[in-house]
Order: sequence, then structure tokens, then C-alpha cells
Amino acid sequence: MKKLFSLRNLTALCFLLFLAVFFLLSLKPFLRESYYAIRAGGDTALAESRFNDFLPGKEGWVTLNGGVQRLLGRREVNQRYRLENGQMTYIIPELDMEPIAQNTVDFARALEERDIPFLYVNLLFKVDEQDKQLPPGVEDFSNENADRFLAILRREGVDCLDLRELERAEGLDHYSLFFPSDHHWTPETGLWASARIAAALAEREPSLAADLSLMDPANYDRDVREGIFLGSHGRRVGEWYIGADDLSILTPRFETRLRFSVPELELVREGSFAETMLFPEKLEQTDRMHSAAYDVYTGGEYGLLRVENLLGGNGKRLLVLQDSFSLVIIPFFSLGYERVDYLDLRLWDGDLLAYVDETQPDAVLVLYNPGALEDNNTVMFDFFR
Amino acid sequence: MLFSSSIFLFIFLPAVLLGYYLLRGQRARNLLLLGASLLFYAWGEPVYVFLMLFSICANYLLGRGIDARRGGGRKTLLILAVVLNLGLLFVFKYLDFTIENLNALLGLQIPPVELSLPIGISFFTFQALSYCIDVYRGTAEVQRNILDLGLYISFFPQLIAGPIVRYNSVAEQIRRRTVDAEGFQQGVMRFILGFAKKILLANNLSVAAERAFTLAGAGELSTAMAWLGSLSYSLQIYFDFSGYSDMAIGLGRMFGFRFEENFNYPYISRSVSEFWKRWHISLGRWFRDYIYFPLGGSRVGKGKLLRNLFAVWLFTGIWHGAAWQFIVWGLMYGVLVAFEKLSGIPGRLRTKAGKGLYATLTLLIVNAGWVLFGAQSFDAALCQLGAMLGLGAAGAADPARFLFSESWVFLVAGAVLATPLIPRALRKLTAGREDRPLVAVGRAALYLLLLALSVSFLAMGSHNPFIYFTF
Repeated sequence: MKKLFSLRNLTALCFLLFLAVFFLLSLKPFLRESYYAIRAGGDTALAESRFNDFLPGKEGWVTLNGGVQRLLGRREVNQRYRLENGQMTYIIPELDMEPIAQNTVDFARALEERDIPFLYVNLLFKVDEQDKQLPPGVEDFSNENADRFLAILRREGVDCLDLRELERAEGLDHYSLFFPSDHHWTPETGLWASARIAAALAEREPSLAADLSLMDPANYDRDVREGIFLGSHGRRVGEWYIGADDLSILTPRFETRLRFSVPELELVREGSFAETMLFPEKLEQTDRMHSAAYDVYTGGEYGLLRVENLLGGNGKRLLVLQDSFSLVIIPFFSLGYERVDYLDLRLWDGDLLAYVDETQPDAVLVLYNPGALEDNNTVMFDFFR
Repeated sequence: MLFSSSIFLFIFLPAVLLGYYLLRGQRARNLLLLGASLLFYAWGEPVYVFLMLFSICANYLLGRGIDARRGGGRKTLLILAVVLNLGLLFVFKYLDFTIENLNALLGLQIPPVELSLPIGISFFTFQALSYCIDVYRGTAEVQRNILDLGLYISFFPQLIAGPIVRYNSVAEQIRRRTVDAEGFQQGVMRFILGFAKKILLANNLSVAAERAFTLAGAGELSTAMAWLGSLSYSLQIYFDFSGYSDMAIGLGRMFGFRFEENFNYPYISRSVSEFWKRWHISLGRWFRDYIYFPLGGSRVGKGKLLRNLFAVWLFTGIWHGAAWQFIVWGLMYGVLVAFEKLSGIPGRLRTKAGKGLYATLTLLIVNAGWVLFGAQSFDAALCQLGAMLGLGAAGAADPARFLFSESWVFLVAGAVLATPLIPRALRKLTAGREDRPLVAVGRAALYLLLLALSVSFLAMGSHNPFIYFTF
């Protein structure tokens, strides 16, 4: 092997250098993730999957791959699809809605017995039912699933609000409501949805009416951070494929005083909207593969988040079951009420009805988007655990 | 652990290479390779590593016993070795299939055992058998060092997807081998080539192939999708399997081993018989040396020749998986090879057009064979073959157009790279110029580009199927 160091063997030398560099860079994440996998009771597959998540230079590799895929003109990359308008989405197959609809109906009945109003709010999915923009031969059934799900709820007399109907009635441009590189909607859309949900609640229960001017875009300052957000689809396909998105930081021009608490983290923040609801450090993070600038609102997802309006709001207390779409609803919607508890059933493992009995909310809302609908009672619809 | 995983490339391989070249002396290096191989196997199958250790110990003792005895005792021990190795294979791979068929045939209700299949069991049991038979025949010396025999049976480069290395072809290399810079570089290039074949071509082609198999299972396959799926699968399985073999051969060379070739551009074959001389060569040779020749080969009457051929092809089918579709697939080749042997076709064809037509027919047959091989069930295979003949029934949305637009680049690249055109052109271009700086730099750049692109797909966590679980 003494003759290895010659130009003739450049390929082998480059390969060895490549292995050496990546071996040294990989050792730490490999040991860390293997230790994590062992502690979590996982197997080698978990260790491998987590190591792959923290591969040295991960963003660079994904970006390179996205560039190649773009050059090849591919529209399906890593189970994500590029729409005609250049945005990204995943797709949902046709599913049986009966089990989760029945569970939702049963939950509404249980609340009815407790004399607590219930509202199911169907949020928006990335693919527009009337303008799918999908490549030919690719089908998405998220909206069709939602149609069947809501039809069952309505048939059973469960109160529903379908934001898709309001979107259509107002003639909004569907795809501008979402981040191109993500399945989530923008903060502006979250603000819009907050006002529509609050208005719908007031319409159904006048005693729950909140001051809608608190959710009026005209009363907010907008600071646009350009190209700062690489969404969850973007993290899978790379910036060279989809580009990074702008993110608006909306802050109210009116006085606010809030308490933001996350019991599981013993996190309590008290102060103005900006001091409680915004986590500006999320905008500074350089590891875009494992952080999202979107988390600047509320800081991320929690099992239980309680927001108290120290200015009193409308004096009503709500319980909202929600998922990541609500990251940009929570900051604005909360302003209208005295207290709102937000539960994410994927992260919270308590007894839901016991929690309702304990906290006695004035209304319970479920805010899910059609992408969350499953064909069996998965954790998000497991209301009776 | 799979070669096409980030842990293998970034942790396991560099660590083993580093350890190997830091150590001095063959014994220490062999010990390191044995330990690494057992770790490699245990990574995904912690329990079955004991099965591997049992196989090593049992075959070591049987080999020593066969070597020490003369006469009947020797044969008894060989039979014991065959029963033991095939017994292991039977229990883990074929027991449930047998129970299922007995239940169906005799109306019994024997519950299935449901043992998970130890990865690579068909490969390492065949290697262990090869050792015992070679010692019995006297074509190889008995291995007195159990660690070296363990290395032969469990050596990680060829452990999970071959090639099946016959003992007498590597016995000497286990004892004594050298690695020179040239050989190491050849190994590196071969490994990268195989890595790229697997990740860039096979994995990307698998999307359309798997979609077609799924739709065939649901009876919703259009003619276009059936063809797209079958052609994609034909190329996928070739680049996947030959890619693994390239990686195994390349890794072997990095550690000083020279394994026999396993593929030789099978899709340019002019006949079915030629196809099987170019496809999974190590398996064909194993069956030839340990079944076909002992039965008398082709130097027998027509009746016995047919028996010998069908025995080999029946075993070939069964070896690939415990399901009727593999048996039918194997027997189909038995019929075709018998036809060619007895009719003298294509050798008797005189015109170029006739030979070309027969070569095309061969490709179509092989393509149809892969449908049978890869389908979810026998019925699904018939559905797909029917759809290819125009009896398709597309579902509400036919994904053929979209999937073709997504994969045509890989289909075209695969079709070209399945022939020796580009390697020949490159050889011609660089002949006598290997030492020129431009060639060395260009070659390094090309291989690094292939490696980087492949790693980018790994890092993406894109579809990365392992198709040898049934083997």
C-alpha cells in the first residue's frame, strides 16, 4: 500500500479522505443517537433513522439532491408533490371517516350532557378541492374525506364550521394562504381564521362574543422576514428545489397583557403579546433541518398550553383541541377570551373528560385540518382515553 | 445492516478499514473482519447472530469430521451436513409454506410457526454447504481454524446478498492475501459503482415498479402501467442485485479478497440459457457444481437430462422464495432451457433477423418472468401479465403518464447502462492513458460525483427498499 499516494490512485485517496472526514464528523451524532435509541427502548432501526436525521451536512446533501431533482424536472420527491403553481404538498388517500366521525359525535354528546357547547372547525388543507394543481394521475382525497366526515357530524347534529366555505365565500386565493414549502398556513391566514372562528362562536353563543377588532389585520404591524422559513416539505426536498419562504411577524398595535404557561415545561411567561407569544430566537437558529422559523409563534407544540388574558378578554374560558396549524391561531384567538387551554392530543396523555370536568370551559372547540383525518381512531380523535 | 445505509458508509466501513490497516498480520486482520462481520449481522438481527454462530461451529465440526474419516462415516457426516444446513433453511424459510400447503391439501389446521426469516440465510447456508462438500470431495483442505471458517461463512461483504462464494475459491485467500494500491483503488471504484447503481438507479426505478405491483394486486392496472412497472422492475432488480454484488466485490478487494463476478450484462443475452450464464453467476455455478454435475449433467440421455434440468430449476425457484410463484418462475426457466438444449435454438437460427428476434423474445420472457417473481401474489402476477397483453383495467386515475414522466430518465439511463456500451467506450477512450493527470482527475471527479449524488439520496431518506428478504 506504499504506492497509494500517487495521482493514479486519486479516486481511492479521495474516497478515503471522504470516509475519514465523515467518520470523524459522524461519530458524535452516531453515539448520541444510538444512546438515545437505547434509552428510548428502541432498536437499531431507530438509531439508524435518528442518525440519518442528524447526518453531518444534512442540509447540504438535501439541497444538492433537490437541485438534481429540479434539473430532472421531477414533481414527486420524497413523497412530496410539486403543484402546478410550484408549491409543495403531500397527498391523502381516500379513507373511511366513520370511526373518527362517530367518536367525535360521541364526544360532542358527552359535552352536551355537561351543557358545554361544542364546535368542530374544519381548517384548510393545502390542496384546494376545486383547483387541485396536482400532476395528472396523482389524486388527493383530503377534502373529499373532510366532506364525508363533516356530513356525518351534521347528520348527527354536531355543530361544525367549515372554513373552506368561508374561504370560497370571500373569494380568497387559496394557495396564497399557505407557505409554498410547507403544509401549514401563514400567520396572516391564522389571523384570518381566528377572526372567523371567533365570529362563528359568537353567532352560535352570543355570550361568547369576543372583540373582533383584536383579530383585525388592520390593527397589526407586519414585519416580513424574507427567505427565512424552510417548511417541512422544503426540509425534505431542499432549498434548490422549492426555495425558502418569507415569514411575517404580526404584532398588535393595541395594549396586551398575557400569561403564557406550559405546565409540562414549567414555563410561564407574562407580559405583552411580543413578550409572551413570540419566540424571536426561533428566527436566529441556523439548523434549518431541525428547527422551523414558524415556531416563532408560541415557540412550538405542547401537550397543554394555557393562555390567560390578564386584561380580562370577554370573561370566557375555552378549551381548544388542536395541532400544529394552531401555532398561528393561538396568539390571535386567545386575545378575545379570558382564558384558553390548548390541548394537543398527540402530546398530552391525560383524561380529556376529567380535564373538562375539572376546568369547566364555557365551550370546547376542535380545530383540525383535513390532513389530520384518519381512517381509525388515532390519538388525535381518541377523546375517551 | 445494509450497504446502502448511512451507518454503513459513515461509521462501519471507515472503522473497519481503519482497524484493518492499523493491524499487522493476517490472523489479527481475519479476527477483526470476523468480529466486524458478526457485528454487521447482529446490527439488524441481534438474535440470529447466534444462529450464525451455531452454523459456523456445526460446519466446522462436520468439516473436521469429514476430513478425519474415510469410507462410510465420511459420507454419513456429509449427509448430516446437508441435512443440517438445508434443515436450518427449511425451518426458517419453508416451514410455514409447507404447513400452509399441507393445511390446504389435507384440510388440516396446523398453526404457522411465523419465524422471521434470518437475513441472508440462503446465502450463508449455501456457502457452508459448499465448504462441507468441497472438503468431502477433497477439492479444498479442511479449515483447522474455526475463526477463519467463521470468516468465510459470515464475511460481511457477501453475507446478505451474495455473491455465493464457494469455499475452494477463497480458501487460499483467507490464509494469505495481499492488497496493493491498484487493487484497493479498483475496489473503491467498484464499490462506488455498485452503491450508485443501487441508490441512483434501482431505488428510483422501484417507485413505478412497486406502484404497478400494488395496482395489480388491486386489479386496477392499465396496459401502459403494467409495461412501465415490469420494465422498471426488470431494470430495478438488475441494478439492485448487481449493485450489491459490485459493492461486495469492491469491499472484498479493499480487504484483499477477489470474488468471482456475479453478473455480466445479462440483458444483452441472445437466449434464455445465455441469460442464466450472465445472471447471478455464483448461484448458477453452485447449482451446476453441487447438483447438476453430480446428477450427470448433460452427458446423459434425454430423459435424465430433463430430470437434471428440472431438478436444478426447481431448486433455483425454491431458493428464491417460499411461494408458488417462485416455483413456477423457476420451472418456467427449466422448460425454456430444456427447449433450447433439445432444439438447438438459437444456435440453429441462421439469419441475423432470426437471432435478433429470438434475443428480443428472450428479453420479453425475462421481463414477464420478473413480473411473476416480483408480484404480490400469483393472481396479481397473472393480472399484470394480462394487462401487458391489453387486458388491463385502469382504476379511476391511471398513474402511468405521471410515473413515466418521473422515471423516464432512469429508464433510459438504466437501459443504456445495462449494456457494456459505456464501459467499452470509456476503456477505449482511456486505453494507455491511465496515468495521465487528466484521466486520473476526471476519473476521481466522476466517482466522487456518483458517491455524492448517492449520499444525497441517502440523506434525503428517500425510498430505499431491500428486495432480498425472501432469499
